[in-house]
Amino acid sequence: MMKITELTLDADGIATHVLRGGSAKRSVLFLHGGSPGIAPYCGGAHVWAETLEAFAADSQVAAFDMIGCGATGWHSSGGPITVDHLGEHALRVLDLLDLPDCHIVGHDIGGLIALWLAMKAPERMRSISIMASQSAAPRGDWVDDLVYLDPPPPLYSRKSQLWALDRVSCAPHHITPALLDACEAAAGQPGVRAGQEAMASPEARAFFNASVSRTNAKAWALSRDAKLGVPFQVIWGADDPLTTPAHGMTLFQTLGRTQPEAQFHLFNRCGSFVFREQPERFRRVVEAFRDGLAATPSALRYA
Amino acid sequence: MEEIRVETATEPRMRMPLRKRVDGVDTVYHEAGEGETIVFIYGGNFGSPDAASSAHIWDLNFFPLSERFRVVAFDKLGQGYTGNPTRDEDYTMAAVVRHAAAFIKTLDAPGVHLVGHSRGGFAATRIALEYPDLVKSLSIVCSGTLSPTISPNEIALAGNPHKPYSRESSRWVYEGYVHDPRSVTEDWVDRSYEVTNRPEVKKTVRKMVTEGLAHRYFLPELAKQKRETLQWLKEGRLQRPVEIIWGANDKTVSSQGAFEVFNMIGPHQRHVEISMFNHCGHFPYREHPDRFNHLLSRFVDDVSARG
Repeated sequence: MMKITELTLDADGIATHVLRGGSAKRSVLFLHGGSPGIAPYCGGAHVWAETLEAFAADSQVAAFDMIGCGATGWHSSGGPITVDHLGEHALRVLDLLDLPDCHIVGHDIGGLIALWLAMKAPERMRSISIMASQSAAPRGDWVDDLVYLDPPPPLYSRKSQLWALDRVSCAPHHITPALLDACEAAAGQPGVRAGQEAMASPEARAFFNASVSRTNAKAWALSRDAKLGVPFQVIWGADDPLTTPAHGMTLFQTLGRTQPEAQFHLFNRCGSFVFREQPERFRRVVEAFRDGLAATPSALRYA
Repeated sequence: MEEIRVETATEPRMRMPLRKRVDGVDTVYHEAGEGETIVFIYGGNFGSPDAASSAHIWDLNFFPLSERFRVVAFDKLGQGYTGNPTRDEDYTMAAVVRHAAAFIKTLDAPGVHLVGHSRGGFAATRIALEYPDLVKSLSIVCSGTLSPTISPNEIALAGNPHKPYSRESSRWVYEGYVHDPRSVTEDWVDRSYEVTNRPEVKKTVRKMVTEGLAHRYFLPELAKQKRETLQWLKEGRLQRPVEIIWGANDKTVSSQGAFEVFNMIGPHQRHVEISMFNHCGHFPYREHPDRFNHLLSRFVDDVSARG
């Protein structure tokens, strides 16, 4: 197994915790899920765990804690954040990491950030994979989502986070002591606590959710009037409590109106944590997409 | 539209057919490589004067995959360069499936990875159900025959304006099937033209159309077998890993079909997944061959690693 190392980057004043490994001339950047201060579990680069080692066998890999997640700080203004804040931060980290031939994989809110990056700086990546991302998919007038309705108190305790992770999984085998240790440790980090405080009010959450909708609208307009500048795939779990196969398929069809190089994958008996619940399948479709794109002669790159 | 040549002329072209007697039928096939055995089953059926598949339809997949696997593509009973059914009542899918299973038995493999396209996806599924010991995994590609939903094949391809047995009629059919007509290569059209004009193949047209076997045997028997097959899938009889590969823009099979097949198998079989290609009609393995090949080879690896 390739060694994964930790480092801290200064991303425009935000101390950013990064996991990095591998040495090949191509790379995968992983964007974790769990909206900072909003999701009832503490997301961060730690959720990728063995995923990083597996991909590092023949790729450079990197994963970082988003603003207010893991060991990364909150932003200097201190107030609530938007998708644009998360996107600008991710873009700065992408700059600093200088990853060659980069494929980006984003889970949950990380899937929306991957899309944000692909809209903002398509020249910086070869493809994006949007995975189990309720916030990236079209929702219409949605039905009230009760998945996280009543987390057991105290919020962000080990037991409460276990509850949240279990709620969104099809099977709980991936919720290991190591994952819970990392989530519990994250809950005590100053950036995470600042984020929870900043995002606690209904106004802060509405402010964030409005930014999700704005990003969505940009993506829908782009895919109608121009096109997403990179190949993409949509990877969904058939039993994800947070989003349905129809949502994933609609996302695929919508962005796929103008970007021809795209795939949709649906995995059976799989919840939100696709890459943890079914790591072999996940790795296989991400690497096959990467390798298949690289093998396609330029004359056949209809894009 | 910008002219793009899609030929990959540097590749060998499956010009070395092998043959063996299978259940008394002269059976033509191609084989290359070593390792886990992948068997391709193409679509269509005997008796079509407009266009006809043969094992060559897999030529963009056969050689790349043969670098890591033992790859076999054969001509089905009454199609391509294989002999015809000897009895009228064998102009059926059931006879095609029996012949295909008998051919697979002769490969002497400890289970094969079946890849079936369109009507071949139905045949492959039947083989996995009737002869599970022959099969390690099943890849179903754009199979309206296996989908419970209406498959608009007959609508999309109605009224071919070209003369039967002509090069133009083959091109028209395949351009109707694919998303981007540039993926219909001259090579593909040439081979279809050659096959449709084989006297043996013309004989199947006489049998199916002139003598009426299509409506006497083939279609009613297929309908019966389809009823049974869908029932079997819902009962959980399919007990091998399955991948369902579809073209999102297939004018002849709706993408809903992929979900319906998934929903029949899924309750009983953990190992089932959909892979849908964008900008893709009925032939993902020809329209996006590199991504198709990588996806398929990783699926086969994954199944093999599980033992």
